[in-house]
Amino acid sequence: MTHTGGIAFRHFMHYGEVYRHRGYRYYISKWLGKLFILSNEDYYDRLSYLTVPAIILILGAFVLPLIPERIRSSAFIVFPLIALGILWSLPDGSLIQLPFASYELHLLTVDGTESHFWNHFCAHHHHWWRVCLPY
Amino acid sequence: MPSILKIWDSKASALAYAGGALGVTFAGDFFTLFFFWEIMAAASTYLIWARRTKESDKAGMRYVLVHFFGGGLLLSGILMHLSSGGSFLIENLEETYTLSNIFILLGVALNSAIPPLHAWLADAYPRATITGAVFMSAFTTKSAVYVFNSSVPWLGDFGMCRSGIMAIYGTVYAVLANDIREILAYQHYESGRVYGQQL
Repeated sequence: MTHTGGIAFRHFMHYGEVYRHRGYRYYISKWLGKLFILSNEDYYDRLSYLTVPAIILILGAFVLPLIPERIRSSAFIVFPLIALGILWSLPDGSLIQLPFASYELHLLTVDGTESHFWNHFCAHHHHWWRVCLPY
Repeated sequence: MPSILKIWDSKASALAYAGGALGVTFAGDFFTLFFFWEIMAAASTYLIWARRTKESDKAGMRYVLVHFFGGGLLLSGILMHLSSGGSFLIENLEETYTLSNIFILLGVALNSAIPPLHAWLADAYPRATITGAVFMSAFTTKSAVYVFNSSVPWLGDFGMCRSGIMAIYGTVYAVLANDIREILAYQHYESGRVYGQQL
């Protein structure tokens, strides 16, 4: 399924299933579409690359220093939570492409291994407290 | 308004670093992989420099030089792979020891701290900030181990040997170390072994 507008969101499932499994990514891009006053129907496809978890975190890194210091620590948690929500809502087989020069960059490819890796990684990585012991 | 560089702090770096690591894991092609790979290297360097001691400045410089060198190896390998008609997408590389495969392998091996390319880890991690040490323990080596296993799975036996060496090395040096952050740094070898074996 290829769309006009520069950004293509393709899915290996049937469209009906995509619609049913769209989850957080759909609602975030819909909100972004309203923010940028994109009234046409394809804002979901055009802005889908903004819902790539990695890009949310990197954009968050640029926004964070501009946030007032007293709420910065709270805001620091928000971006990873959004990314995690999107990560969990991604069905296997998701693919987000971004045209660049003569190539189609695959910004996000999910085949199941990645999700398992990150979920396991989050669960396993419990030794952070050891660093704080001397302090 | 102050410039972004002046107000850039370790939290922002940590977010960019996490974003880079996520991007590496989910990248479907070599250019995306390289782009996020370098974001990860640059953001993590700031986490070392943010401690603002003479020792961390020097360690950060060594760290960034090693990682940009590793990135250079990876990019060279990717360009050679593409020029020889290889696929632009990340897929299992052919089971041959071509120059491009070796360069890609070396670039990834350096990031995943496979002996003998591991010295940067124990040098840099204990000298980072507290936040930095926590974040650095999570991303660089793990994402590199993932890339290593997804691109060259035919090196399975080598991967298992590597995991064994990393486990022994990490455990022995962690026992000898007397700084808790140094112990954590050596513990990465051991956790790298776990990820390598699982993948």
